[in-house]
Amino acid sequence: MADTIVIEVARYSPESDGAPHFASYQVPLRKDWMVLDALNYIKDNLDGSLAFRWSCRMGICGSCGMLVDGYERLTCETRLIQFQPGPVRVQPLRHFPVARDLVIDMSDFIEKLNKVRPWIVRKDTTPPAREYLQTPEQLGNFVQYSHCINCMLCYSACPVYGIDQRFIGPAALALAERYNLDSRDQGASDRLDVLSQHDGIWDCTVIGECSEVCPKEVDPSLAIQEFKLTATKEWYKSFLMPWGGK
Amino acid sequence: MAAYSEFPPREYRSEISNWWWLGRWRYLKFILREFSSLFVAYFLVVTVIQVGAAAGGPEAYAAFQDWMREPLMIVINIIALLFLILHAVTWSNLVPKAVFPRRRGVRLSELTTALPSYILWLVATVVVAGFIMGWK
Repeated sequence: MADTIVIEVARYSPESDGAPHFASYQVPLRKDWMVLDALNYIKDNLDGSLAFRWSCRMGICGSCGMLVDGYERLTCETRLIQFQPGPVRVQPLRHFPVARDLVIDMSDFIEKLNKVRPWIVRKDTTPPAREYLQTPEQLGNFVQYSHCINCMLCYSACPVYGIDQRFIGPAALALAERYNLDSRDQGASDRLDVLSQHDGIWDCTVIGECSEVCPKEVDPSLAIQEFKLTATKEWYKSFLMPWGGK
Repeated sequence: MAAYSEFPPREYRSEISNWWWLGRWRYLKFILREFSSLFVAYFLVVTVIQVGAAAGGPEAYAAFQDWMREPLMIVINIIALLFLILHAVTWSNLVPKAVFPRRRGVRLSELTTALPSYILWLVATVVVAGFIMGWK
């Protein structure tokens, strides 16, 4: 095993660069290092101006998602050793504006996430006397989708979002479905108008790469198809029984 | 992008290439899957012509068979068959993305969900092949 490996990092400074370029850094190749450790090594020892996001270092916060070797990964969970002899390229996630180096502007995602109301909506006017109870079966209906950590790897892997940025996108739709399937939630009809518009579920062409890159096995593609079925049923119900409420 | 800022920072926006679908196998598979629909339509047209020939009597059907034996038609049909198989396989593999049987809140495995589709395909193939072979 070599002692070092070359990392090619995408660099972009809005003040001086017209477009990103690659800068090469030689870093120690240690058996237990993740790609994030190598980036931190560069920042601490080679070039303090390198900008990137990270926080928990254990695949929970979803901050350190980047393209490593052309593929969406959480850098804190990606072993450096697998890329030997190198070089390995590290780039910001695709389809988002690059603010600096490896830092993307996630405003669009945050805006879309808010649109789908990813929280429990209740119609009660007064709080309940005790917590809302759920059976294991009711929990099982949505728990897979609740594992989303908003890392946005799925947006980077989704060509539909790359082509048409009006698409609400995989993670936001999966989180909407997570609350729609929650037995405690009463906001499904409120979300229906946002989710069932053209820029919502119907923009998805079931390429499935979002589910492939998801580090938490959320399977956003499945959530979207699941909601397509629900939206279709709701449309037929409203067509056949226009007098019935939503 | 940052709506709250009066002077938003300059950001770099990249354009997606027209050749994005060559970038990954899954993207290419998606494009081939969509493209395979054309060959499904092609076989529908051929089937309609075949039924018309069968209705037209033995001579019309023999003429249809002669047409199908032409080298160009054999090449086209082999290509169309390959795309049709791709269409059927990818369609069956997508069944678990469209129906969601659950047992006690836990979703059944993708294999369990897709299997009936493959079994139906096999049965339909045997029935249709038997019908065509027995036509003589």
